[in-house]
Amino acid sequence: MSTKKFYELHYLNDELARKTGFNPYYVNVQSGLNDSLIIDGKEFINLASNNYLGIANDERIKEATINAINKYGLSLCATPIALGGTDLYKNLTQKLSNFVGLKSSIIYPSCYQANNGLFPAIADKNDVIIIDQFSHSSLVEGARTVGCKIRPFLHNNIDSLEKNLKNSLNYKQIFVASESVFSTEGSIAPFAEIVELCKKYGAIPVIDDSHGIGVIGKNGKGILEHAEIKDYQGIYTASLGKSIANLGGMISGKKSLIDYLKYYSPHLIYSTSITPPILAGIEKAICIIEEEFEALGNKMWKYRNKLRDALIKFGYDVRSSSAPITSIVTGTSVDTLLFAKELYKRKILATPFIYPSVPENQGVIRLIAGANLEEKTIDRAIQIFKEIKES
Amino acid sequence: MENTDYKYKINPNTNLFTELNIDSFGKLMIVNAIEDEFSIEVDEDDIEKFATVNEIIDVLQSKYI
Repeated sequence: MSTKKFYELHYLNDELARKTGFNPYYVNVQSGLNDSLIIDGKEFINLASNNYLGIANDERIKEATINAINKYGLSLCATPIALGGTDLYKNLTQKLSNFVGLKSSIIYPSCYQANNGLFPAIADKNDVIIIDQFSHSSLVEGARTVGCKIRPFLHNNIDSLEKNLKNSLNYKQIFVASESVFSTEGSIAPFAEIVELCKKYGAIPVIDDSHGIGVIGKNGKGILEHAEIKDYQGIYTASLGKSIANLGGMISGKKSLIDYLKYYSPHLIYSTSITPPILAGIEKAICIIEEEFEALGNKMWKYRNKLRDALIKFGYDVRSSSAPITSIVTGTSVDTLLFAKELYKRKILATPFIYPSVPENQGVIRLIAGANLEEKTIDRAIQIFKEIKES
Repeated sequence: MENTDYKYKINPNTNLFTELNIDSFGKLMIVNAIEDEFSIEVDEDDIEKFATVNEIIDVLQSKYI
């Protein structure tokens, strides 16, 4: 193939952006996550970040990060298996394990990488991965890499899962994968039931708790606390870049498995280790959540309920949600971007989900009101949604 | 109670993907259900040929059932 032909094949089709006169992606943010967000020099209400507990710009986390830079510098310029692992790394993996109630953990540069790297390290072509149909791309693509049988089950549908389990008994290993909190709509997996079914059929549960850690559970410890699961025998993954307000992704579980992954997960051992300042930031974030979850969580839920109740009252089609995520159904990709454009014009930044992130014509605008926002900001956002509905 | 409030009508020539917007996972669920029902394993190449109900029937009858 000629170079010309190659570049003709790979280009961005911006028809949708041209049709709507708006591209909501890769916005030019010029501030941290304070009450207001500065984009292109203008103040916005930020309902787009996953900063659930509002600690991304916390002074204590910044201080811990700066202290780590002063001690270790910016990077150890090595993979964790070489000299990329510091005492910070060792202490943090133990702290994270204790936080979620598991024995051992490792930290990848991102949760996408953790999820992507997990299945290739533990599964092969003789296995089956049964996976919730709405699972995150990182889990799906990781499963596809293995080349084994993949069985999607209907979203959060225990009967569909059991039917798939019953028809999977001839495979060597059976994995059941799901997200805990599904981030486009805020539904929560019936994980206690999933774990029970896994026990019944000899399957290994894999849960991605990226939108659950620091968010759900009485003390914000995520899905295992939320579902009251003791002595979890499966695999747990989570992003450290959402409520934990940093970067990276963890895999936790039994010590023997984590020890194995430390040496057999290429996504971990060939990636430059997550850097000391980030490790210190994560450690401080966990400390803050352990001490202050009640107050931060109450604020997060208060804002979520206030916003959600108002939107429903104004007549918006709001998705059913059990998490502090509020998604407005907007339909086609064009309608979704046009609604996001209207919000943007009125200085609200929200997250539009369009095909292929969601099924065709099932676009939504997702709103997450972080605990860093002031209540008057939520009131202002509500007023703007009211004005749009009345216009 | 069975839900009969279907949004779409399917006939033998309905394209499952362009008309019903069934995605790759939806396709896999259909294939898995067929495999379970008839105790067969459909080749990946044949799965690629599935677009309408008629095409699924043709492939199954010619090769698997």
